[in-house]
Amino acid sequence: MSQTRETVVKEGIDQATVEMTRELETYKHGFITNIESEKAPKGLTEDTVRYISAKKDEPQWMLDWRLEAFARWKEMDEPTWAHVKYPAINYQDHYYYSAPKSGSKYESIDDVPPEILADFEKLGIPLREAEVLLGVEGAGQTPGEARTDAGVGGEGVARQKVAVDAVFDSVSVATTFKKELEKAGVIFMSISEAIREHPELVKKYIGSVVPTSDNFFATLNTAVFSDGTFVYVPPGVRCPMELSTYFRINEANTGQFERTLIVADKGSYVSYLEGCTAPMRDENQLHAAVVELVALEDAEIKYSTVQNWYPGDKDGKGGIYNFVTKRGDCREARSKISWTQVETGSAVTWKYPSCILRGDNSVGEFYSIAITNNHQQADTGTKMIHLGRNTTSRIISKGIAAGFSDQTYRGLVSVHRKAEGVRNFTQCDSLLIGDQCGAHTVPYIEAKNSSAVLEHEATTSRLSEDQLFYCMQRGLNEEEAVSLLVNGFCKDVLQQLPMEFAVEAQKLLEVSLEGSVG
Amino acid sequence: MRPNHQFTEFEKALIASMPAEGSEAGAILSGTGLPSRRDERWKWTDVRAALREEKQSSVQSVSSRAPLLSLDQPIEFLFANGHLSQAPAGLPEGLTLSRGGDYPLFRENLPNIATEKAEATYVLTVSGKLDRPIHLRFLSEGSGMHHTSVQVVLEEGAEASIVESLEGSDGAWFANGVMRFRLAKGASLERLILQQAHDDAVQVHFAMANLAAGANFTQGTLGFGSKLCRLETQVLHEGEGARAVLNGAYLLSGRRHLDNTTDVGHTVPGCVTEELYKGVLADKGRGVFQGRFYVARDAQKTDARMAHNALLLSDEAEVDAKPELMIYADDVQCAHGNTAGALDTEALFYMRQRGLSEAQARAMLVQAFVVEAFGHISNEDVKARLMVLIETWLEAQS
Repeated sequence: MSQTRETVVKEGIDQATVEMTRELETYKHGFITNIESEKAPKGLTEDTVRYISAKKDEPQWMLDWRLEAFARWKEMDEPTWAHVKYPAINYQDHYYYSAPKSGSKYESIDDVPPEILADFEKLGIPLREAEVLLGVEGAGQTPGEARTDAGVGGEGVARQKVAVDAVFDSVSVATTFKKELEKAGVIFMSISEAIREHPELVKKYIGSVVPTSDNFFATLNTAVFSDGTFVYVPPGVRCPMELSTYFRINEANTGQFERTLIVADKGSYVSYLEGCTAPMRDENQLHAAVVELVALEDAEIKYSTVQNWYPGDKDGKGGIYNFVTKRGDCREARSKISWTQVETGSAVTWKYPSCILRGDNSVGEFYSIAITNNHQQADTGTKMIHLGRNTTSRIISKGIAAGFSDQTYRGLVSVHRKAEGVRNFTQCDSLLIGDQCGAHTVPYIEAKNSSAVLEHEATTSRLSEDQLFYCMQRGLNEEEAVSLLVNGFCKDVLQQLPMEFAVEAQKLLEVSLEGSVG
Repeated sequence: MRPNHQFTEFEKALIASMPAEGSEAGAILSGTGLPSRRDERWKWTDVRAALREEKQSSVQSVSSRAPLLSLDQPIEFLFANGHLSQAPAGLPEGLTLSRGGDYPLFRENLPNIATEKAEATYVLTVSGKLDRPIHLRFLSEGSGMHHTSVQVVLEEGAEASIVESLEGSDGAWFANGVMRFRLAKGASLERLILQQAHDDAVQVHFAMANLAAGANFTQGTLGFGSKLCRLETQVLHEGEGARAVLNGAYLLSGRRHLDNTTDVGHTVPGCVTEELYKGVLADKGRGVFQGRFYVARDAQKTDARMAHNALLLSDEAEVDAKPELMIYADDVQCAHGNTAGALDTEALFYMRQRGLSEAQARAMLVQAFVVEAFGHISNEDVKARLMVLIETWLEAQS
């Protein structure tokens, strides 16, 4: 890598490759969109909470819920047990609400500020298809060429439909394919809309998986969450397309606190994708989301994340603090929740997507790839709480640490007294690239039932020199060889991702490891 | 200082018994109290909750009893409720006994308290090869508390074996012991810990081993638990090429609790750690295993492996495990494995088909499961006696 940085190019290397590499060296989503925005006054008081709630036209019960959370949050201490270090966060120095000034919903494509459209286009999000944008007559009927990302679906590859909800700073700016989804009975809209249009559903499920005072960051989120996505799939419906949300933090000093709630009713299925980016800024930005999943009898939810928040520069300056609470509740029998995550961004990550396996024979899965480079820190993992009989869970975690980064897998597998016939398999492998990084594994296993079969394996190693040598002998350069081996190392997880996400994830793996060898 | 910490009667009395001036352990204790489930390293072994009532210091005598493990020609030291009441009249060549002085503080405070409160820190120094085993018998009874502190120093190239038996009869006593092992270059020590105490007893037995280059530290543990018992061993590889083996087994019945905690630091290149713990839980027994490998940036070529397997024989038993890796060096081989499960029903069926009763078949399977943890013990005689203890436990179950 040092060679390309100095633009000393070896003979025979294609110019396009050089440019590609140069592009990859920087965080390409690091642009800032210059649009006017409407913000709540800086800082966090009860008035901020009231301001957000009023802006959202929320019913009284929602405001009461937020205020209760805020009152509890003030009494709580920020957790310190994670293996991450960052300067103390001044919660009064953030904006807790920011919306593009022209409002959050548009009558026609012409009303959407061109800067936002350009922004999403840069992100490769299909919003630029004007007909698909919400509010435009007939959008739902348009056959979707959903994603136009250059890396996705070349010639001859069938493109899948993906419905998108885009969240810009604090508000949802556009939801696509709404009509087509409505036909199937699927509700897919921003959570603010859902609170207005489907209060009975929101009221029934929100906070039922992550209680108000679950933890410091979740409580903060409950008080100040500004937007997010709501999905409800009615009984027996297989959601006709993949649902997707893109989150973007644009404004400086703005926290993003989104709330996602997905409910899969009896016998339904939904696959949901989440992507995140942010501009490059020197100061740290805060992202504290809450995601709640509820799977009823025989339902299945597949939740995939490609998290590419700005990780800070090479010296660890700037970047997103990603403190997220994600939890799924397999509430009834034979339900299934599967988390797949590719974590490449954020300066500091604190995230444990979990499954509460309450229903008998329910299944929880967690597939994770976490890559840290430069000065990134990640403390991530999962919790599998086995309450029901014959519940099974599988955890596959692949951690790759490079540069000066530190990475921790922290996971809990807990089997309750009455949970007969539980099975868990956990595998966490760590790969170290370079001798200045750290990889840690902290699994917790609590078994209270003798019929449980729990297996846990973990290994830590570095890239095999033999394998590298073999690849390089076959004509790959060192970066390519590393990328190939890393892809092989992550294969178990990449296979779980929806096809187009998998391509994106593989590209991200390459970008994230740029400069880590040589 | 922990906000709103309500000191228990036990804590108050213990704090009051520490010297008012110059007691570092006392200062820490008055700040944080005893470890409880709010401390990450004690989350499954809540000493504070187990010791609420005020305790007096134990009387310095106990009734005599046969040793838990009879050894061939042991060099026996007997601690009666913390008081060194018997020591051999003459020590063999190569072994000396003295009293020690100052020690740096441990991160854990209980061993600091033990160091300060013990009647003395006894130092056993070994040079050359010691043929006879050292046997430290820690006998406890009554309902008071007592502390012991022993240091074992092996000079360059020295070889020795040591057995610590933590034995106790009736009573809700609290025994708090600290052991320090210093192995100089090329020294070799085989350590065996045996623990068997009454249901009401609370025991914490902490050890720290510092290994110089090429030193060899082999440890075996067999524990049967008590109301609350924690056996903790910390090992620090300080010289290249050192090797540590940490093996152990625990068999818990009734409402007994046993916590095996190990923490191994690799600070220099090329050291090896092998760790294997086997647990068997019956009735309402509760087993805790916490293992941690820390590999520093410079500790390249480290080879460290950890495994913990637990067998649950009852639906009321519980096992909690945390096998942890903290790795900062890239050219290392580190792995851990953890399993928990019940006896293999197919194996049981097979054995019953061959004419064994269910109890016999279960006993054989359990025995086969546990014995793996004693594979490293070179003395066949000792191994056979450990097996007898395990068999006795198994018979009591059926």
